[in-house]
Amino acid sequence: MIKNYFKIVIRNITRHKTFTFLNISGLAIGIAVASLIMLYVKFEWEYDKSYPNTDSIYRVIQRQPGNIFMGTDYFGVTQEPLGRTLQLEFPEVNNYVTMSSWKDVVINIDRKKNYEEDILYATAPNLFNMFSFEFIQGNPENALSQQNTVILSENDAKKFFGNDNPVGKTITVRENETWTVTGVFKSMPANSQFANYGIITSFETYASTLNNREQTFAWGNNSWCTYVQLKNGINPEFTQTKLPYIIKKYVNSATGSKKVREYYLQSLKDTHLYNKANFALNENGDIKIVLVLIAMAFIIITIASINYMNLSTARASLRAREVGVRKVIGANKIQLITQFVSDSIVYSIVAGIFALILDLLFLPSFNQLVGIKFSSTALFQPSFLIGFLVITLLVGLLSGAYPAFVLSNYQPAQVIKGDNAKGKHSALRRILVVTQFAASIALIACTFIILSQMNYIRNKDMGYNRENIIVLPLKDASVVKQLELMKNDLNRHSSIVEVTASSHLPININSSTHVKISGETGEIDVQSYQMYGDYNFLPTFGISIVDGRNFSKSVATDSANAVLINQSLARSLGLKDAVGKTLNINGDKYNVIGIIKDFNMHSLHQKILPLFIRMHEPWLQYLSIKTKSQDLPATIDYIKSVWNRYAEQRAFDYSFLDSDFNSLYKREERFAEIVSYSSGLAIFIACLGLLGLASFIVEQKRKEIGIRKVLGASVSDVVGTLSKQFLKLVFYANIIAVPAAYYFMTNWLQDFAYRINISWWIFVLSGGMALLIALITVSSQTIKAALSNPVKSIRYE
Amino acid sequence: MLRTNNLVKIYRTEEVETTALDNVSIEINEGEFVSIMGPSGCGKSTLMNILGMLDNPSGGEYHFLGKEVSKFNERQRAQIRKENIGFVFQSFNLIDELTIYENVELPLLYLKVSPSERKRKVQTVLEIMEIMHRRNHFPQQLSGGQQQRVAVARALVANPKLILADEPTGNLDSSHGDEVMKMLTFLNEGGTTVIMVTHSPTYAEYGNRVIHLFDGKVVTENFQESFRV
Repeated sequence: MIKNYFKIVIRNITRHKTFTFLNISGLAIGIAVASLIMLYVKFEWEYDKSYPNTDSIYRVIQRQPGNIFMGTDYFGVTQEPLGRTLQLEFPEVNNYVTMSSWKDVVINIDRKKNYEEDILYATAPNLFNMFSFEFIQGNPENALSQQNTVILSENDAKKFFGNDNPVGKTITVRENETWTVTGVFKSMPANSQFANYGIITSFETYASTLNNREQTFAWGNNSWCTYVQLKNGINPEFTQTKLPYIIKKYVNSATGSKKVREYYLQSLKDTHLYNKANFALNENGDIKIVLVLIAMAFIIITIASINYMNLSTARASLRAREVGVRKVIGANKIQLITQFVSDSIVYSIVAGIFALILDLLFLPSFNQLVGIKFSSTALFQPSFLIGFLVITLLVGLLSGAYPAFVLSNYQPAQVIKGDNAKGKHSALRRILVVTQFAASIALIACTFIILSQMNYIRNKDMGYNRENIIVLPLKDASVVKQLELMKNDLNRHSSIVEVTASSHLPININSSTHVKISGETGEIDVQSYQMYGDYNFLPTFGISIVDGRNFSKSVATDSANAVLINQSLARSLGLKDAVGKTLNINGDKYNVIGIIKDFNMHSLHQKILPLFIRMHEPWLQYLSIKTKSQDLPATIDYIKSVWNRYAEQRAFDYSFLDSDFNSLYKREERFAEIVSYSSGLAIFIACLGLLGLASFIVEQKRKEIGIRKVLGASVSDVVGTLSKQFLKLVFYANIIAVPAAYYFMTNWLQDFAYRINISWWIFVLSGGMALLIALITVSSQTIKAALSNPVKSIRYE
Repeated sequence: MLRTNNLVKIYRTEEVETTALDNVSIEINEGEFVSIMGPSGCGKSTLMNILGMLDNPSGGEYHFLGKEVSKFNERQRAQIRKENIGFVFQSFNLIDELTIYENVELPLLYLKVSPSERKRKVQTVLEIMEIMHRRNHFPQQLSGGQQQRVAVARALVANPKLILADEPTGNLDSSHGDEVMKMLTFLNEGGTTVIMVTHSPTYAEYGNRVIHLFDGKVVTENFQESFRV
């Protein structure tokens, strides 16, 4: 029997090519999109959930109310003694890990090969127990018990030493530390926070490199990531309520600070997607992106399934007779439903095959879109294939259920005589088409709004110049020591206009402290961003001075106690005439020598906040070089030659400030790309459906068209009459789409401190666009019908 | 074989109520060949639909093989139908996507007959109907007469006790019509009961009895000496 069903499906597929093509391409795109998104969602969802202890691990984060940095006053870093103390004080704390990392450290192997790697240092056996590291060589209990020992991931061991046994070999860190390899662990999966760390060393080894060990490990230093593992069955709320006691007993008494702070336990399961704290070990995911992608998958799959439902029920009248015959011969309803559902499942399976090909073709673009490197082998892993099959079958089932219900309900006595159930179900069909277009139009409108906000961001005057500026990260102190020589050499080149060294760039100022001034009404204390720069900082970035002067080489004291403040800080301190005033910054006195014009130092999500700039060489991290726009490659070559002269051991890395600036909006760019691709696909699939429906209706109305023409209708009359009913649907869709898009986009824009107003023309444009696309689609069919010879179509029946 | 008692069928639309069958009481015995005649709209097809259990009557009784079936639900009717009744229609009603062989095989599939048995049965009827050579063609590739022979083959492949033929010759020219009538007679001689609706008095006379319907009522029942051409 099943064989019989399949024969019919296959013959239908090959016989009705247009119908088949429209259905299968729509379903294939839908399944392809949904399955890629599934790949991504699975990756993000399972992030850091693969450890056996995941459920009982918590990260300690702290909140300093009001100390808002990058949009939040939560911080992922705590004090080094915290973890140990928690285990000591609270019996329900089973285990703790304190860790931190160095990024881009130069590693030498055999004094020959150079690598730049990230190094993790942590309380050693605890880390391995809590996160269940699998040791291939060495053992977790004592691998790092000696100082200057290190363990490598399987991948890094292979990278450094090839097939040789790495245990007992040494690696040289930052040119002067030699560490012995004592173990190799199985590389963590890509969706683990440890995936990037192929080199792990102990706290003791790290500490031995420090000059100010006491200070680093004190309660006053917040630079450590702390994890605790609670005993089974312990409610984290219970432990959390006791955390203020720790602050009171240890933090406040040790530091004498009265700063208000709160500790929270954040479940490991939430740290990746729901992270709200600054300073995480790794770049975090974003639940919003995950949800938006799921929504897009759902919308696209729905639109594609609606196509199938519409085209199938429209064509149902053609199959009515088959249903009648089958019923007469003895088929019952269940058998017919089975038949038509298996029909749609065959369609979805064929579509699935094409979808898999689409997945393979578009995986690289998708990787770029979501920022994860999935290899094509990921598409052939059982977990993916099972999910893929489930999506495919579900799509088949959902799109087939309604047509099957309609078809199996035909009464044989009626349909057998050729009394086709014409016109029925067309109301539902219209509703479905309106749904499709409403979703597409809303997406188009969202795309326009997002793109115009992005455009606004790119073109808004941020208050500093970012064109033709090349940025070199200074990497470490040895390079900073050579700074003056480098600057001199660079300034010699005719294409180089300005060179400046600074602790931050105007786009990433992320350090803040307290500024105090004694006023008439007592002391004013303002939380302010801070950075360090040199004499050329302001001219390089074209930041203007509204009062006073820039740092000057001719004033010897500038490098020690001069400070530039921005307008916001002057305002916050309540100063009308700030130049010449003395500020107290962390106990030291500074003279305000100039007021600089406010500039946006963060993304436009945030308002401009107070900032001051001081001079202090050891803190400098970036060299920014303003160049003339012509002959850039030669200029870069020159810069590279200078770099190699003074910092040969460090790789030459450079970037352009304007592209760094754009990366501030990476999340928004990603969001914009996702929505615009989705809206493109949505409208495309919806049009496939419209095309099919139009061609079918035109086919059915061939006779009516013939009669109309015989009675004197012109081609444009006929096209008008036929197209009108479709365009009406798109018009209704607009009415639903506009408020929906307006609602979502107003919400989205709330996240920006500086934003566009949503203007009415965006909706006119997107609605008009959808209408135009629909008109073109439908016209291709209606014009063909209107031009045909009426004699043929009248004789047709 | 079957007996109706005051069968009534009323069609309702929003404004009109039409009585298609008005107290029809007939009895048809096993082995009979009954022709039903009457003008358009007299209720012939309605009667056939009810006799074939494609439709339920609005009132009255219908006994089929000793069972009162007028109140049966669709599933029960489908069960009796597929085991006992074969249909032949004016418009053939073959499934375009299936070959001749597959069309004829279809009733056996719904009866869950084993593959080897199916093959044997289908081949036998195709040979009887003399269309074995076209078994792999699709319906549109055949002439009207050939298509109707396929339809007859399909009707009798499951070896039904009753064949209902609704104007089987209506879409055929006279030579093809004759052919189909010969087939039906042949089946009847083999013991199958045949009920046939027709407009043609000539073809009506193939039956051993003619029932005339007018305005939903039985007007006459003529028994006649069956004669064979």
